[in-house]
Amino acid sequence: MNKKITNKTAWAVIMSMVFVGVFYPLFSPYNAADFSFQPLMSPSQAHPLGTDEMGHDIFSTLLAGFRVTLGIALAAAVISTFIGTVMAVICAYHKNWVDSLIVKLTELFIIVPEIVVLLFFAALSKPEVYNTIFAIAFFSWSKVARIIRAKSITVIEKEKIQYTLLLKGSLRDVLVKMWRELYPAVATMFIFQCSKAAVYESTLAFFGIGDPLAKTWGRMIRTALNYEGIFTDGTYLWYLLPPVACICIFVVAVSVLAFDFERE
Amino acid sequence: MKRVLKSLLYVSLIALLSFALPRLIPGSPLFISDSDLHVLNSALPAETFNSFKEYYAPDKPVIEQLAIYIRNLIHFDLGSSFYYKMPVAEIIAGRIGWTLFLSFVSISISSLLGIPMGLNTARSGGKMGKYLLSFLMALQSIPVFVLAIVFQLLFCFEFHLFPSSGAYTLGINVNAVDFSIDIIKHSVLPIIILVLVELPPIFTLTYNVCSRTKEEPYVEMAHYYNISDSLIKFKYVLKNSLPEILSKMNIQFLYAISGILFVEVVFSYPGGGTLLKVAASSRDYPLLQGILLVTGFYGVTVNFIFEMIIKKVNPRF
Repeated sequence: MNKKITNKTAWAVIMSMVFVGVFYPLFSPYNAADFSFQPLMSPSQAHPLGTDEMGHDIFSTLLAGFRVTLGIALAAAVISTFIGTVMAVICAYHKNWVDSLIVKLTELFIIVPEIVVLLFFAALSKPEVYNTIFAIAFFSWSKVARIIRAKSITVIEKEKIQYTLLLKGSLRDVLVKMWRELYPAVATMFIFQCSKAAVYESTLAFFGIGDPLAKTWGRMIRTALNYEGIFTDGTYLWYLLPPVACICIFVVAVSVLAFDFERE
Repeated sequence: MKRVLKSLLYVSLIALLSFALPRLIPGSPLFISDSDLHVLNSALPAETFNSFKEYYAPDKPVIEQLAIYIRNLIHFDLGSSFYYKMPVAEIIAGRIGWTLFLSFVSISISSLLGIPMGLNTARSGGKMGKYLLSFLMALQSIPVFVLAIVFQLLFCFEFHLFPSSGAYTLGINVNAVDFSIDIIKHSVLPIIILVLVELPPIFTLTYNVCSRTKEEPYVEMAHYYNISDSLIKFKYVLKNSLPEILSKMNIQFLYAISGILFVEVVFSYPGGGTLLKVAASSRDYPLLQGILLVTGFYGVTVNFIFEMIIKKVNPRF
């Protein structure tokens, strides 16, 4: 009973966040790129969250942040889950040195924290949204690969897949045949990856890496912290805390969902 | 011997990764194009640029570059930082102590709290444990730096309980005692946050492993023999769970390092994290690469040590 309620709440939260992300221009009072307002205004009827030190309306920026942040998280999660799944099936398909090489690679990403490699990659590449997505996707598939690999190794022994192998089925055929068995695990991993990608994105932005024009929540936190008086004049209440709250709510909702999936 | 070989393999993979990445990513200074090099040349002071060119030798063939790179690594020469204009190895050596300090203290505290907590919760097996578990899981998913910012806001700026930045106050400490107290004061908040982050996985891990060990027939048998509860707890459950806990603690140790880097940035703690921040925001490639290599080397070492310990504790593994 209790489980159902938390699960439903998590779904509702995520869906409404995605809804805001898609339709934010309908709710947004101003254009997020408009910086013609008086800087550092306190919240008022006209500006629900005040304005920042450049004269942007913070509420509009926050709403625009839904689309960019969720977009990056989803795109990176799709790609990394895909890479991870393919790697896992390659492991199960080949079994020889290819398998052990990929396993060594995934272990390497435990030994060197993913985020450090990711930071390295993202800092070297051009500051564009696509590079952020690729950086996250390329270096966060190891967990997917590890877990799906364990699953694939048992699944590949099934008769129908052994049959495909006997008919000299290619990797693609095997992947297609295995998909139905792997699907639940892949879906769980995808949800995990969403939360991970959102965390990584905000971390990158927090380090000042990534497209400076993409106003993600992480970037908002960074700009808020860059403003000198943030902690001393009380502006953090409407400048820093809203994006912080958004990230926390999103990530927690997603992980609640993922753990629920995992239990099933 | 096999372990040594495996560690060596990891080290070489990391070195290869750090060698290949800058050369594969468009837009990085080593993605060889003359115009890029020209821009870099005009942006950096001549001396720095020359040492950069000498170190990476971008005009030589790739194989030769790799050879130079490996030779430099063997001599612990990590190049020279753009930002600090000092050898990277020297800069990192000066900072790494703080990071190791935070890492060992926080991991020790989390293990000393988390393992008994997990053991007791598993032994009592009540609902309490499940709720605690899901709460901790939710906490675990929040980005570390966000947690750190919120704590800093609350305890440094609202209640003024702890200093908000640095590892010590500059210039006021005359004797060793005051200085130590000052250092402890500065490290309390970062350590609390790190413990909050590191505790949940250790707790969950112990809980899961001990719950399984508890169900074993020999533990049940011990109950029938009227062996005292505390003896069962430590001799039967904990002792047999320990190898598995240790083998996964290893991963926690490695994960902890990234958490520490972020907490350091928020609190401007003078360790590797702040260095990483400076390197990332000023696009200081040699320094970034140095940090990547050192983190990797640290990871391999920790991994190696843990494997030795596990082998000692339980030869089966």
